[in-house]
Amino acid sequence: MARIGVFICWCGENIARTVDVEKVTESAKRFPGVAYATNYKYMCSDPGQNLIREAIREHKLTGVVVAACSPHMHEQTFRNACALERLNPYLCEMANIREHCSWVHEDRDRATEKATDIIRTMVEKVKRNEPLYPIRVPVTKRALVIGGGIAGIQAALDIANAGIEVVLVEKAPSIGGHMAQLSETFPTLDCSQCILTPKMVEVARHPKIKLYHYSEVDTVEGYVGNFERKIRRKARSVIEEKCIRCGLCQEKCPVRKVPDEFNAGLGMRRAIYIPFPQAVPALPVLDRDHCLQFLKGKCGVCSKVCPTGAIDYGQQETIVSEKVGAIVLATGYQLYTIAKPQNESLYAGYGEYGYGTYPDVVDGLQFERLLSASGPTTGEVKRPSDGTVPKSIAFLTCIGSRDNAKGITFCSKICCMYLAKHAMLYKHKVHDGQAYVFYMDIRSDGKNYDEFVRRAVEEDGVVYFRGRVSKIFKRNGRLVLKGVDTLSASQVELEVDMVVLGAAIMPQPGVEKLAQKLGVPYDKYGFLSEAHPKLRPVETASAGVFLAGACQAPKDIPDAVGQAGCAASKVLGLLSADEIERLPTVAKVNENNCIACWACLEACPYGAIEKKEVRDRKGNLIKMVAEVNDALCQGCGTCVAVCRSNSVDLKGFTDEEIFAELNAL
Amino acid sequence: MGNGLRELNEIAEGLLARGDVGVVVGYANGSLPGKTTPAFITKPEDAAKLVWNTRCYNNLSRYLTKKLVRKFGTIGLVAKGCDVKSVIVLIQENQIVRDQVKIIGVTCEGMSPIAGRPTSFLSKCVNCRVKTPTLYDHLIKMDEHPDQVDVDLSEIERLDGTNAENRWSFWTEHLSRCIKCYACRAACPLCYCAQCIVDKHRPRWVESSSHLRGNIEWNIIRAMHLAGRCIDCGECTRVCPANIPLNLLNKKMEEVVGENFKYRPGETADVAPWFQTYREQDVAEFFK
Repeated sequence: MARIGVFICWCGENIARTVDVEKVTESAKRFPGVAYATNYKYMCSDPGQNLIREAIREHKLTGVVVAACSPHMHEQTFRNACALERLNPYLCEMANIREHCSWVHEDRDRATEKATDIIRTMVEKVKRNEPLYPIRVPVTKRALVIGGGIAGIQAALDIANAGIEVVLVEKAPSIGGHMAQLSETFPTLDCSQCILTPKMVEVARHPKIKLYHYSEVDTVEGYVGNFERKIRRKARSVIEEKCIRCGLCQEKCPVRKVPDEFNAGLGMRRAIYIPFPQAVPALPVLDRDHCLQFLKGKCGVCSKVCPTGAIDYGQQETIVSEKVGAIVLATGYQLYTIAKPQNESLYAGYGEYGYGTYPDVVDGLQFERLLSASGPTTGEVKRPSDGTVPKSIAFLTCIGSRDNAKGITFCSKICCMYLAKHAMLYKHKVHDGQAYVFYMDIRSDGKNYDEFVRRAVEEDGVVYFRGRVSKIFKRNGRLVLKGVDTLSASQVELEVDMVVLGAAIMPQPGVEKLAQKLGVPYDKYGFLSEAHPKLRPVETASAGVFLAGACQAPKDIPDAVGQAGCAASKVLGLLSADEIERLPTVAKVNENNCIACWACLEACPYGAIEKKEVRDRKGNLIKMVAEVNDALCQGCGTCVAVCRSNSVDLKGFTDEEIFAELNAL
Repeated sequence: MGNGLRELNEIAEGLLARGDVGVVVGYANGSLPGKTTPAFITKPEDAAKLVWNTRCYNNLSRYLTKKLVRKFGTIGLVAKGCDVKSVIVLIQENQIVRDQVKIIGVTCEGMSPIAGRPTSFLSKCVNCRVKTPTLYDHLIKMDEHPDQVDVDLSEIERLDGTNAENRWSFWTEHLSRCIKCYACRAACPLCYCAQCIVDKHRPRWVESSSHLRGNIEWNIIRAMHLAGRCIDCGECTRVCPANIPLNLLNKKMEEVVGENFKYRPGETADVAPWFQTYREQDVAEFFK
């Protein structure tokens, strides 16, 4: 015998102004099965909740309908109140008469009728609700961090320092990411390597961090608290335990002309190489695509000179398996390719700047390498074309960014700052040089950022033009820029020795595939999506998977480190209990009816459905049926929709409950 | 009766004698002249009862999902090109494993109508592209030809050319005669659900009584559940006692799926069914 309580909220004025709540209360009292109905100004307040609790006690209610705002707001509030009175929280539902009624209609009479209808449907539903209990799953107290740049490193350290073991996977031969390529960082002009390498070394030495360098994540299975990852460890051709880091192999390698990725293509490396002097691990890696031994079967010099026999041409890649409870994605960024041909048809390049045609037109990372003491010119600013010192350099902002016509609409956030930094560092190294910056707006919004840019203008004499450059071409051997200065409304023509382009910040290639494996959404550029742009910046739609750093959106180092700490705290929160509770509104298969066509299994976006064998007592196979993994299921209802034989139902939203709602209209 | 039939009898006999199959499902002479009936041959000596003529229109793959037939173990199935297509869909949907059925494929030049019945169900034969089945364990070349057939092919184009109101009245006129006998469901090889959704009563999604609304619900649900699966064997239309052109609905759904998702059912069992898989190249124009 149903005894439903209906509680109608005025929501101050939000509902009561449009809906006649007294009239609705009187109607609700007469619904079949309703034992008690009342209204109150603010149901979500303490006295409001107490009203519900008292009514449950006094009237022995078997179910509760709160007619108020959206369940997104307060379903949890009212369910908690019911639970305190020993009424199963899933016997409490909300009827949305605010977002679905009072906020979208103006006619008072008709809105009142509609509110009455909505409440009637929810009363009919609640009469058929069943009590549900949370599902508890055990948690593996380990974490996985994908990406060994500054964000990944920081997240790994923060989690490991709390005593949780971290597996850190980095696809490059060394950790450090792009920060390791920078010369000095804004706004303090700290040497990037000097502040980064202590953290890199800490990661290598930390007893709670397991570093898989030169490795990639292969497959993912499982769900929050219980992920199983297969990690593919690529073959360096060097035996880690034997190598003594003497560097002889690199010194003697006859292949000298492989474009160096660490130097952004400006310098050359050997076929066997240590990525950079401060690399962690400082192990050499053999690039099989350029090694004579692998291409032609003859050389073997590195193996001959190695004093410990650490070179192993036969080394194979291996697959290791790791069980973790939470994952942090910190895959970082890459620069937009400026030249005309683009990999993605979504973007268009700039042919007019001569990038790729003139060697003296470079991008931001390439200029960093020229400035860096460990770079191809040992820190002297020299033109890539002829090695002379440039006496004038132009720095162009917004190359790719903020340009609808080129397919990228966002601002890359860091370029205004790093181009000001480049201009200042150039002036510090070449005292009689002249630096020009062409800008659209200056975005220097961090702490001490604006002062930094002002320093470039006032102390280092950098000339700022507010305008864009339309074309760069060569005339008598010099680079000529044609641009505009909108503040003085004049055209600008400059002859410079070098140009640095501030290219847009894009996500790493291949991150879409990784995101698909993890069930994390991403936007059209490939930036991974956070669960809520303001309130949940590090969580994703996939429970147990978090984000840190530039993979989510372009950001500078302070923000990346901050976000990494935030992700670490979420991971620590998740892993702090031995068990986590999952919502019980999951799907359930009726095994009598299931005909094992696997439509649900294929359609489930979370891979939550498995094949199950039904056997008799003697062990003979009778039939196969589908089975839902409670812990993986997110209650989306896709399986319910695709099942032709109507054999799957969603707890908390069963066919009967929904049908009762429809019938009540 | 030609060499083809003799070969069929020999193959059937051989399969049974060697124990390769537990039963051969084929066609035998029916109770009335000019009719055939599905036959379930379990003894090698009975294999001679199998016949082949232009009245062998039943889609025998219907029996592959019947427990009483599966009890015999591996099944030998006499199958025309269209029948083989439904076998392929059954394999795709995990209702039978490939090596549980020995397909005795027969070439077919078309099945002829019964005198006095509308000929719309044979539109499938005139445009048939599977006169030789695409999947088989044995293949027999038959040399029967049907009589001249008078068929209106353009029914779907004609309906598409009219407006929605006309199409609605076309279908309500036909569906008002539906008596909910569910013969269409019984004859369809892909209607194999243990309990059909129309038989569910908690909640009652589909009215079972034969008034217009319930008839429309039933036939639309059936067309939706067969979208992208129906291989146009035409059995539903053949068995309908109320002469409703059911296969037109299904054919139209097949065209929609084919155009939008580049998928034709019954061609190969190596791909997953279109409805439950996501492919990056899937059309998404309905997203704005």
